[in-house]
Amino acid sequence: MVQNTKISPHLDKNIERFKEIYGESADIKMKEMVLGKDENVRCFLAYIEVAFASGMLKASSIGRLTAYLETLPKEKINEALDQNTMGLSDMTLFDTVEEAAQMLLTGDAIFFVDGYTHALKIADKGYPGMSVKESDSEKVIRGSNEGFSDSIKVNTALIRKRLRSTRLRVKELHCGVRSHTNVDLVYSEDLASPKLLQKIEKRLNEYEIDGVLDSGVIEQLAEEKWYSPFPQFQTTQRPDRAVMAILEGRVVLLCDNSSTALILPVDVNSFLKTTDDYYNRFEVATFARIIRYISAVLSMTLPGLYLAITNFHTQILPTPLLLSFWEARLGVPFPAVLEVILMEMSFELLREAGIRLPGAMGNTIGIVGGLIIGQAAVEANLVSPIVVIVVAFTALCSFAVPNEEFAFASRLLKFYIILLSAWLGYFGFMVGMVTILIHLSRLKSFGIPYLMPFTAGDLNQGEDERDALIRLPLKWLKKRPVYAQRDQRTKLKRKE
Amino acid sequence: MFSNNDQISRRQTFRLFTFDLMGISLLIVPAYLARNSGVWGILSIFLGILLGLGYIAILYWLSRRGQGDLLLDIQTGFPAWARDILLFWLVLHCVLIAGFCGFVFGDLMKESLVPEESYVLILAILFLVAGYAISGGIESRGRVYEILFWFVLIPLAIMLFMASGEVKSEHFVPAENFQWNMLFSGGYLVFIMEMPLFFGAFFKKYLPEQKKKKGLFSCMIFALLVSGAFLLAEYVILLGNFGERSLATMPYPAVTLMSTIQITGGFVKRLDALMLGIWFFTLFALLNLFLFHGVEFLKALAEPKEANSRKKRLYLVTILLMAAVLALIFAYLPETREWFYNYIWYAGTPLTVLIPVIIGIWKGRQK
Repeated sequence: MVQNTKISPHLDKNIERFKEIYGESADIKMKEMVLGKDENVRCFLAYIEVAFASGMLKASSIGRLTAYLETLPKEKINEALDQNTMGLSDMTLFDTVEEAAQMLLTGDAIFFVDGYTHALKIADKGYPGMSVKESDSEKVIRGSNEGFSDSIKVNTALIRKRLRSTRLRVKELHCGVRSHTNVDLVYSEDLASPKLLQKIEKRLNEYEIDGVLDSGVIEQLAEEKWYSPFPQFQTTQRPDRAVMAILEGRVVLLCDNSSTALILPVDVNSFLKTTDDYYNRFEVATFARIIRYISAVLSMTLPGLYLAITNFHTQILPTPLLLSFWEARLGVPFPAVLEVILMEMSFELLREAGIRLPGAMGNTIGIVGGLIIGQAAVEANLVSPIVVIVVAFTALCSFAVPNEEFAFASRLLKFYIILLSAWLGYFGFMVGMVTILIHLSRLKSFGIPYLMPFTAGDLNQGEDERDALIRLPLKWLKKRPVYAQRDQRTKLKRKE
Repeated sequence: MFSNNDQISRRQTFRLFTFDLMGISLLIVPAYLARNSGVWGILSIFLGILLGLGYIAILYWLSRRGQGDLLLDIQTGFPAWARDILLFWLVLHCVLIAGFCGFVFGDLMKESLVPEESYVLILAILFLVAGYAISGGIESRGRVYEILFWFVLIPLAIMLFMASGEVKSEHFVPAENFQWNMLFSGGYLVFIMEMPLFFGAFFKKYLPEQKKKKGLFSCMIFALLVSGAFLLAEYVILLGNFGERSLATMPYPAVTLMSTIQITGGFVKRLDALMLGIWFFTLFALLNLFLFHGVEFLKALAEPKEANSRKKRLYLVTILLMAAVLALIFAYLPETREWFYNYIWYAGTPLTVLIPVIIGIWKGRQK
């Protein structure tokens, strides 16, 4: 059971309890000092070594506090602290030693004063972290290049910077019994459905976990169908993407120490949109989106379709093409399915190696793998050139999918389709496709059908379909998607 | 929020009915029609559509007299013994047709796509996938066919258009003079294939409150007209391509037609194998329809007072097994197919018309 020790007017008791809580922790620094006009007031300062650096600076909060306390007589100190006559904007009082000890872990300093029955938390620079950086995974040609950082406070600020609305709400939750990770739900009060918010909070509170080190942990715990390869949360590292989602009535979940925000609810369409779809003209955006949809399907189906046609239904192909396929496979000792699986696995291996290796070497691996090994494998008759083309084209398609998690789902299911097609030809291919479609039709994200707006589009009078496979001109996209509250769906209108 | 209510939209209802109606009719009706009615089969299709419209009118009339849901009418308006007999027949009817549909589906896939593979294996896969689809409920079915609608209909329309170039006018000269029985037997055959409309009588609970009555029936009418138009176009093109005598001998003439279309100058020469996807999805829809309602009827029979049964999986497995066994029987004992045709011709279809009429009259008297 959690102990609650009231802060005693006797400083020694507080220090003793505080030290008992932290034991031998080299990074937690505890300093005793004597302040007051007559140097007769004992104080105690505790902080985390690297998170606190400016104690000596007069301009810092703690610097100002200690300097001010040095000028006061002992009997005035309690009153000054109660009334905050030092004018510290970020100062919080605590009544128990345990609370104060816990709050030390946010990276701020904790200050005890002899004879004062509260502890003070004083903000300082906090934990070290990366500053705002460019998003690696969601590159755009047009639009902001800022990406989320690892600090939740910086990330909320990046959202506020873009959405200067008084209706923007940031609800702070804590996840992880030991890690006490800050999790922020960011939404627009008038747009997000209250039911959705309740559902999200309920889902977040369903598990008790010791540590949340990234938003991915929350994602896995809160998703409805754990066995589905498809992501049930959208991830983004772009503040403008997050703001766009908030304006759609969705909720953004930020997790401390994670540069990846989660957006919920999701549908299949949201994984294939990019922010610059809205910055570019509609013809360009529509063309790019159609390419992405085709890529998403091909990244899952192309090798399977190749196997089904070349192994089972060769009558489909014109004779010259069939002959060139046959010729290309001459001398290859493996069956076509093994050849495809080997090449696909090699590609996945190269991809994984490319990610793990440092930047420049990662690129080298791509060149070495793609060009040299591929060429050598063809020359050694281990694989046929056509399979190299099919696998390379499939890989290209998977890279065109803007969401990494969604692309990963396609890549996983590709093997399912390959196996079924190799076994049962086009029949197996269709069985694979229909089972995936049935699975998608059963999938929901916080009550929203995953296949929206291609299904149930009439729930929002067909408005969501205007921004699906084809993105209509911005002037015609007057309504928010179905996620937003019904009476707040208008997002664009001509001025009177 | 909105997706957990076991209800589907009007658009989903229309598309679902379109698939259900097209399922077997585009595949096997042309050959039967050519045998029964020859060139006059074109008129039979019109008659069949008219009969279908009349049938929808009967169901609409029934919905106004009763509670709008035939299952509810059966459960509440009859003594227990009559209710059980009716539900038992409905279960059997669904299982029989699902079994036959499974047989045709498996046979088509084996003959056209995987002739080397075991029929039992193909059937097992089909029924397993169907079971997975049905366990997702009406919402899942509605969404799947809402998505597939254009993916199936557009290629079908393109293929029919491409095949229309081969139509020969001499094939439209009738081999026999017009006889009324040709027209009526053909019309009745087309009407038999419109039997999925019967399930419109049980559909009210799957539509949102404000759109129940008129919405449902207008969806059924549109679905009937769209599927009828496709059947008519397909029959005319098949007749024009093969002539009534050749057409009468083909088991799956639409598939044969697809194999005759040659595409020049592209990556593909023939699309027959790929076009089988159309029948894969339409037959799958029809199989699901009968299995889905079979499970619903079995649930109503076994647990008449239980609204949310916990044994739904058990009922699903039972229906799947029964239908799969029947499909195997149809495949390995050809004479049973004749019995099935006789049942559908003389008992199954007339009963699906008579039962709503009788219940409508009964309900009217009760009022």
